[in-house]
Amino acid sequence: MTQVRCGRCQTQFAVQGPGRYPCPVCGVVNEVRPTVDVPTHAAAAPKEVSPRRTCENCGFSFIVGDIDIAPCPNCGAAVGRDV
Amino acid sequence: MKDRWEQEYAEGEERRDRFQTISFEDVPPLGLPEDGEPDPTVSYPGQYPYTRGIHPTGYRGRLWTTRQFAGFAGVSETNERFRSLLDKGQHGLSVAFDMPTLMGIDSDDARSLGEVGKCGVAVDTVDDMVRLFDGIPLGDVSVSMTINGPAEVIFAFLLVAAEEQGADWKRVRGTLQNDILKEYIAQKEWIFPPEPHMRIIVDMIDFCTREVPQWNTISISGYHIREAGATAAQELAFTLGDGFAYVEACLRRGLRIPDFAPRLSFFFDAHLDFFEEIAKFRAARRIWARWMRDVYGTTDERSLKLRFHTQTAGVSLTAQQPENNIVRTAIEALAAVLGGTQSLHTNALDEVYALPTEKAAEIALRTQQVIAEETGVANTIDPLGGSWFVEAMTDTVEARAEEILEKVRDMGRGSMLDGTLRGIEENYFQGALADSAYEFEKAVGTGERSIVGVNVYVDDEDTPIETLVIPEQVELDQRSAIAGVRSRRDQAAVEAALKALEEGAKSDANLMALMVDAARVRATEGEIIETLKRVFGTYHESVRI
Repeated sequence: MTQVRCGRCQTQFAVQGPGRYPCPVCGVVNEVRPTVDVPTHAAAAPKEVSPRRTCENCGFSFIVGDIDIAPCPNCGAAVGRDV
Repeated sequence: MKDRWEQEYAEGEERRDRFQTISFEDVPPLGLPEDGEPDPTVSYPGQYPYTRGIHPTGYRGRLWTTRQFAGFAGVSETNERFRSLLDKGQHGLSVAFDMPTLMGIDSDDARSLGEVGKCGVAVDTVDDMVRLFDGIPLGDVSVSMTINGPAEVIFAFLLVAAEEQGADWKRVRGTLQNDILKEYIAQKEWIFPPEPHMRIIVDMIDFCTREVPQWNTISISGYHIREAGATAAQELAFTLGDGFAYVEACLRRGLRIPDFAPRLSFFFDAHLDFFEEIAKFRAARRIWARWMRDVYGTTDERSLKLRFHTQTAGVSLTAQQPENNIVRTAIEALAAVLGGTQSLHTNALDEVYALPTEKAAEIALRTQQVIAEETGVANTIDPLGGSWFVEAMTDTVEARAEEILEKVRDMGRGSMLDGTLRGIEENYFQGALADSAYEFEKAVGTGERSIVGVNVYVDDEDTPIETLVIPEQVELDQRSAIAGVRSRRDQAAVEAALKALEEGAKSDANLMALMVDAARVRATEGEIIETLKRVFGTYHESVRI
């Protein structure tokens, strides 16, 4: 059994699960939705994350996209994705 | 302070000869305390910290701009909708693009299959932009364009279309959303990694300060952050924090605040908690003004004034009993007006299902016209100013937002730009939004929060409503259009322009100017974006587990 509250009078009452239930006090029909699980991002996690690299020329640190060599946004020097 | 406001008000123009209630009582322009000056944090309209609005005359001088977001199917259909909205009294245009355009992908790319024209209009080349604004003078009508990842490409298309209409860029007015930081935080429509994209944005701002001075360069957006699950204070803090990050990026480039900050504008959500939303808008102006003055050291009044567009909360609309959405939208719009918005989009009742039908879009427009013309709420400036409850709520939202801003600044060791980029990289923002969204959903699930027609006062059966369907022919027509452009253009000129763009991306050249050159010779959006991808790569975010 799950404890829910009536959306109109806030009376707490027990239900068996998702579905539509009249409030035992005021009679208004409430819809109880399925319980939401604690979100987990593990399944959606990308296999590859863009790495942060530091420009050897000026010391500016930035994220490099999926490209072998990127220009430093600060000074234009070429920075490699793989160190 | 009062003398100054009275003088500025007298110098301003009123939109009517007299302002009266429905019972013919005169309405004063501004409510004030009976004794003494208002608290300095509240102050007067048009005066620091602008809690009561940025204009001394409020809506007595000029009403907010009704700006309905529109775009669907092909450019011809959208052009017709634009003309219809202008005929019905709308003041400015706001373009919604389809998903391939938003992601920088051409309509004839395999990845676009089934998506062309579905959630907005498809724009692949300058020719589409020319047809989109056929008969609409770009030197006179202000245009807002909601696009971020490839924003500068679409802006280049608009500038070339204006040029070909004979419009002087100095007269072209409008807004480009162009807010990539909130894409990493909430909406997820990015292309390049953060730092290279920030370079593109600063290039565009630098370009506009010289070439398109009336253009609003970024619409710094809390809307998508709120819709992703933020609380009011999180929406405020994350959005203003993004704004300060853009300011710091421009300062690092060597730009001067008065040259770029007045052209930064904001975009907020109007959610359903009426007073909290009003407080949020008032607090937003106060925080922006204080930071710009005290942290960034400007005394330029135009740079202190936060201007914002508002859209009612799409996330508050329900599929069940959809007619109730008209009521929700009206209440949210009223909150935006009482919070002093500069422009407003009201959602249509059927947008929870699809893009709106013409009828639903008209009801949405009429909703704000009823508020403007019939309710009298625009007849006095900031009517809730001085309410103990509203002022206290404003203080509370402001304090909550300041706590979050402080945390972001700490993450950046004193820099909002570094703090925001670090927060994105470490999933601070994304995690905070997920947590808030989860708490809200849990409360709905247990009945702690009521949504009429969804978890309380539910009907036995839901009555279906008519919705807009985009015909498949739209995609076929758009593919033909882009094929036509490819066959007519000077291919050697296109290749040369794209080569120049690629070389420019590898150096410190201004990419905005190079994108305009590529647009002129009819390079497609996808070609320009793919060229830049070859230099910057695409971004893959980390995910907090």
